[in-house]
Amino acid sequence: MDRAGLTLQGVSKRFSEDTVVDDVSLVVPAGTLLTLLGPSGCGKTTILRMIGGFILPSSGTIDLGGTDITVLPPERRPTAMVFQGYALFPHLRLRENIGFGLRMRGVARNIIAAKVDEALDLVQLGHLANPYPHQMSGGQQQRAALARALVIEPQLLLLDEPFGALDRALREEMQVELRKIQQALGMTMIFVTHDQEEAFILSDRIAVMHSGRLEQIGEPGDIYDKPHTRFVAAFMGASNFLRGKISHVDDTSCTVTLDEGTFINARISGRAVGDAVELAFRPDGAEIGNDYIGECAGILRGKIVFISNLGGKLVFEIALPSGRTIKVQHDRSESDLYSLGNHVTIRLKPKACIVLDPT
Amino acid sequence: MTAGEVWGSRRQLDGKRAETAARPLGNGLLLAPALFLLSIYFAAQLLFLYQSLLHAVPGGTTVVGPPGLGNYRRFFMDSGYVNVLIDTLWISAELTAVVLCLSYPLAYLIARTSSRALRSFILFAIVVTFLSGGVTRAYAWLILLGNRGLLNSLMQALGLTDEPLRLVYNRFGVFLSLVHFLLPFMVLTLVGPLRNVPRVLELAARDLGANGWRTFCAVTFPLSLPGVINAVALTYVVALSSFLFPLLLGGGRVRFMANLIYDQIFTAYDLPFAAAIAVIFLAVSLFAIIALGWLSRRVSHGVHVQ
Repeated sequence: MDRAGLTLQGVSKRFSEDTVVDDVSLVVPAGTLLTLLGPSGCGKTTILRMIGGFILPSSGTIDLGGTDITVLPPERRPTAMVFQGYALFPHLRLRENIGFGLRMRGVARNIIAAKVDEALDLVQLGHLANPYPHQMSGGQQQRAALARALVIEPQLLLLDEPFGALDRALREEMQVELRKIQQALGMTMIFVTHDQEEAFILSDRIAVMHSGRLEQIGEPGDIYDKPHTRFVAAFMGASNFLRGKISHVDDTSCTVTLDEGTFINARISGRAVGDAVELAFRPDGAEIGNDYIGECAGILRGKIVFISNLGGKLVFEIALPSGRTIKVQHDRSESDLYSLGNHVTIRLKPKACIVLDPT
Repeated sequence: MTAGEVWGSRRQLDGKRAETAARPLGNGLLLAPALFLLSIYFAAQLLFLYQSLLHAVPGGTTVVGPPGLGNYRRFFMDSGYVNVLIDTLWISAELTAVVLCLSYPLAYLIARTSSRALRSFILFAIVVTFLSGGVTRAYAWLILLGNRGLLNSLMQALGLTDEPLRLVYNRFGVFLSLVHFLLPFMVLTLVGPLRNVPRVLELAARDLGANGWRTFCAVTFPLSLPGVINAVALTYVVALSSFLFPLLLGGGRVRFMANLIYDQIFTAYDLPFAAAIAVIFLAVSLFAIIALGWLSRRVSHGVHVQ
C-alpha cells in the first residue's frame, strides 16, 4: 500500500451531557470506500464532520495518511466533502463553483480552467454552458457538487448522504457512477447513508452505527450474512426474531430449540448447551406451505393475519400460537392457496437463520 | 420598498406558478385599505405640489397665483439653499457608511453567535435604543457631551484638558447622535439577510481550502450584499429625513433639508417656498432610492438562496 488510509482511534463527541459519538475506532485502507450506515441520529454525520474538521472530537485521534489531523482546521486538511443538499455557491456559476477550491489554493488560472474541464467531463457535465446552480436540475447540482470536491484531488473524499434528495432512478444511476469513479481514481472515500441498499452497492466495507457506537464493521456480504447484534440484523432486513435455547452442540453446528417447540440446526460455534439465544431470519428465510407433514425440523404453525403486496412478492404476517408474529415472503403467482385467516405451516430455512445473543 | 425589487428576478421565475395558485380573495379587495390611505396621501401631495407653484403674500399666511416656477428658480439660484441639499445628501452618505461599518459586525455576531445570552443582550440593547424617544436621546447626548457634561467634567477632572471641548452644537455632535439613532435601523435590517446565508456554504468554502477571512470575502459577504444594499437604502432614507437631532444638537449651524423646510414654514411663513423645497427634496430622494434599488438588482443577479 503506497498511501496510508484513515484511522480513527477512540473518537468520542459529547455535547454537554449528550454523547453523540462514543469511542469509535476504525480503519479505512487507502483506495477503498467505507460506508457509515445507520438510522438518523446514530452519530454518522458527526463522525464525518469530525473527519472534515467542522467539529472537534471530545477525545480520540484522527490520523490521515500518517499525519494526525485531529485538530487541524478544515482548510488545512487534505479532505473534501460533498454536502447533503450540495451546498453549491448560489452566487457563482458552475465553473467558478468547481474551480473554487483550486482558486483558494492559488492555482494558476489556465491550470484551473483545464482541471475544471476535466472534472466536468468526469461527472458528465461537460456539455453544459456555464449556468448558475439554480438554473441546474437536482441531478446536475449533485454532479457539480461531486466535481467540486474531486477537482482538488483530496486524499479522502467525504460524502454526507449526497443522493438523499434524488429520485430513485437517478439515485441508482449516481450510485453506480460514483462507485466507478471511486474505482477509476482509486480514491479513499467515506460515504454516510441510512439506506442499506445504497451501502451494499457502493461499499468495500460497511460500518453500522447505532446510538453513537460502532455496532459492526466488515465487508457487505459478512454484514448481511453474519450480523453480530440484533440491531444490525434488523437493519439488514431481518424482521423476525424468535427466542430459544441451545439444546445440542457438535463440531460445526448446534441445535436451537425454540420456545415455539420446534428445533433447527444452525451452523455456528462458540455456544454451549443451555445458552439462551435469539433466532433471527428475513421474510425470505422461511417458506410457507401445507406439505411439510412428516418433517419436524424448523416447522411452525400459525394463522395469516395480514397480507402486504410488494408486486412480485407477497409478505404474509403470521400469528404463532406463542403470541409472536412473523413475516414470511412468498411469490404472488404461487399464493392462491393462502388468504387472510388461513392456518398455514411454515418451514424455516436453516441456512437463513442467524443466531444472536438474547436481548 | 426595495426588498421587492431585489428578489424580483426570483419572483419572475416562480411567477407563472404563483398566478395559477389559489387566490382566496380578489387582488382588488386585498389592496383596498392600503390604496384608500395612499390615495388620500397622494391627493395631499398633489395639493402641495400645486401650492409650490404659487407665491406667499409677505406678512400673511395667504398664497396667491399665478402658478409659476419662481420658487424653484429661487432655490437653485441661491447657493445657500443648494448647499443645504448637497450637505444633506453628503452627510447622510457619510452617516450611512459609518453606520454600515459599525452595524455589519454587530449584525454578523447576532446572526452567527452560538451564545443565546450574547444575542439577546445585543438585541435588547439595540431595541431599547430603537424604542427610546428622540427628544429623550437628544437631551441624553447634551448631558453627556455638553460643556458641563459628563465627558468634559471627567476629562477636566483627570487634567486631560483645561477648557471644555466643544462636542455639541456642531457637526460632530449631530453626527454622533445620528450614528446612534441610525444604528438600530441598519443592524436590524442586516440580521435577516446574514442569517439567510446558509452556514453550510461557509463550511463548504472552508472545506475547499478558504480560511475564515477568505470565506467571508468570497461567500458570506457577496451573499449578504443584496441585503446590505437594502439596509443601506433604508438607512440612507432615514438619514436624509433627519430633523430632530440637527434641530436640538446642531445649534443652528447644522441644517438638514427638513430643518430648512421647517424654517420656511414656521419662521418665514412662506408655505409655497417650503412646498417647493419639499418637492425638490422628494425628487432627489426618490432618485437615490431608485438608484440603490437598481444596484441591488444588479448585485443580486444569480443569488438564489433558499
